[in-house]
Amino acid sequence: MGLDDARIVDLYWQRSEDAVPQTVIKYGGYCRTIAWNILQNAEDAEECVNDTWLGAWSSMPEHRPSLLAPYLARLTRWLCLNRLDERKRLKRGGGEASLALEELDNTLASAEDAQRTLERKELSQAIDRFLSTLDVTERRVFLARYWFMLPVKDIAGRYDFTQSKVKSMLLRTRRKLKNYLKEEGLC
Amino acid sequence: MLSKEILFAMNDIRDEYLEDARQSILPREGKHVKKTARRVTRTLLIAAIISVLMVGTAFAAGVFSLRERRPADADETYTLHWSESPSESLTWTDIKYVFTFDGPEECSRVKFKPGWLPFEPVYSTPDADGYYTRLVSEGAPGVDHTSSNYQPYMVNAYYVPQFATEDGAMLLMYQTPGEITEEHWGSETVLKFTASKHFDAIERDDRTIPERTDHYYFVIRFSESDGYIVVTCGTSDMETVEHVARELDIQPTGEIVKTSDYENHVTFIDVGQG
Repeated sequence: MGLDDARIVDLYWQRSEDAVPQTVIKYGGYCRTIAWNILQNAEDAEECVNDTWLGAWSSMPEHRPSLLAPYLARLTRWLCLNRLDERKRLKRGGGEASLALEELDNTLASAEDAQRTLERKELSQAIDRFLSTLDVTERRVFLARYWFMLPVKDIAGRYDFTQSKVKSMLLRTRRKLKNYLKEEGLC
Repeated sequence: MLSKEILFAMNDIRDEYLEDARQSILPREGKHVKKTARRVTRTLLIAAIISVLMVGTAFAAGVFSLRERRPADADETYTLHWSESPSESLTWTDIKYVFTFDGPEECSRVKFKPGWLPFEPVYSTPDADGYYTRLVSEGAPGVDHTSSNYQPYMVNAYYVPQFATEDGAMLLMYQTPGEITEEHWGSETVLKFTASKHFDAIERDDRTIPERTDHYYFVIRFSESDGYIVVTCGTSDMETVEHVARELDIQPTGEIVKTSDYENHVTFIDVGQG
């Protein structure tokens, strides 16, 4: 049920008033879940999700995404991370994003000096290449934690792993990432 | 912080990895939520004690009521404002249905534990005792999430104090309800209805997408004594949605929800809401 993505994108390109409602119907829950996992605050999450619809409306036409789910998810996640950043809650606030940051910090603290010189695009490309070196399960678990910000407990349940196994996998993957970024001269 | 940079930079990973990860965390198989006899007995005992205490407290403070339920007027609008951005506002128009409530300005937040689900929820996280404050499934097992059954079931809790103002309302914005039946489950008033939305045919370059009407199923459990409104809804079918709703174990958390907690006193409960 729900319109296919191509038709929803068509609605945006036609500047149809049905575009946003149809997007909300199909992907509202998905984006809201991402926002909630990151922000753990209903009002902030709702605002960021509403901004996602505004972002979609503003970016289409021009963009014509073939898959709406990752397109909208990126918008939502980006807005939520910026919301966290703006409020200087990255280290203090609740939510899975803060925990995820702490875990990454423990791995990458020594690289703090290098961060100012990093171009985000370069880093993004390096991470994408790094992901291609992982086996499928490693990659899924890593993204479940650090892209979707799912709690370790949920990840364990989703893949039928113990929480210890998930933590171990994440630790190994973070170490691999650290080494990879070092080899790439980014850390 | 580099860690922050990494989180931001990860946003641009390729679609293929993102979709693969998303699909991998969608539900797998149908399951009944397991409950041990001991846990059920304990839960029921605690529920009974809390229920007696809460009913007494609520009646002392006043009761909550459904003031009105009605189709929205054609020109009815609701405008949302935010204190952080006073110059900005959002006006909702073309509302389909309106529920309004009266009652005290505070009540206890609730959590709920599903006694039965057609299959696992996605992303929703229970507490240590298996209770949720929001429960959602974004797709059925084995069904392509992007093209069908986008939200088989969803459970959300709302509270009368949010709506108990002159301009407060709980809305259906896009989905038009048919006949609403009213039942009583214990001390709760239960509203059941099927809502629908019609989509006109669309002509595209190479084909015509025919018109169709989608249906959405709602079971609303409203407590006049405790002030909660637990909405179970979804695209599955009424039997499934009602089964989920009936077997919810709803418990107060002890945390107080106040009218003043809400910047805006309207919300909409459509399936797939953002």
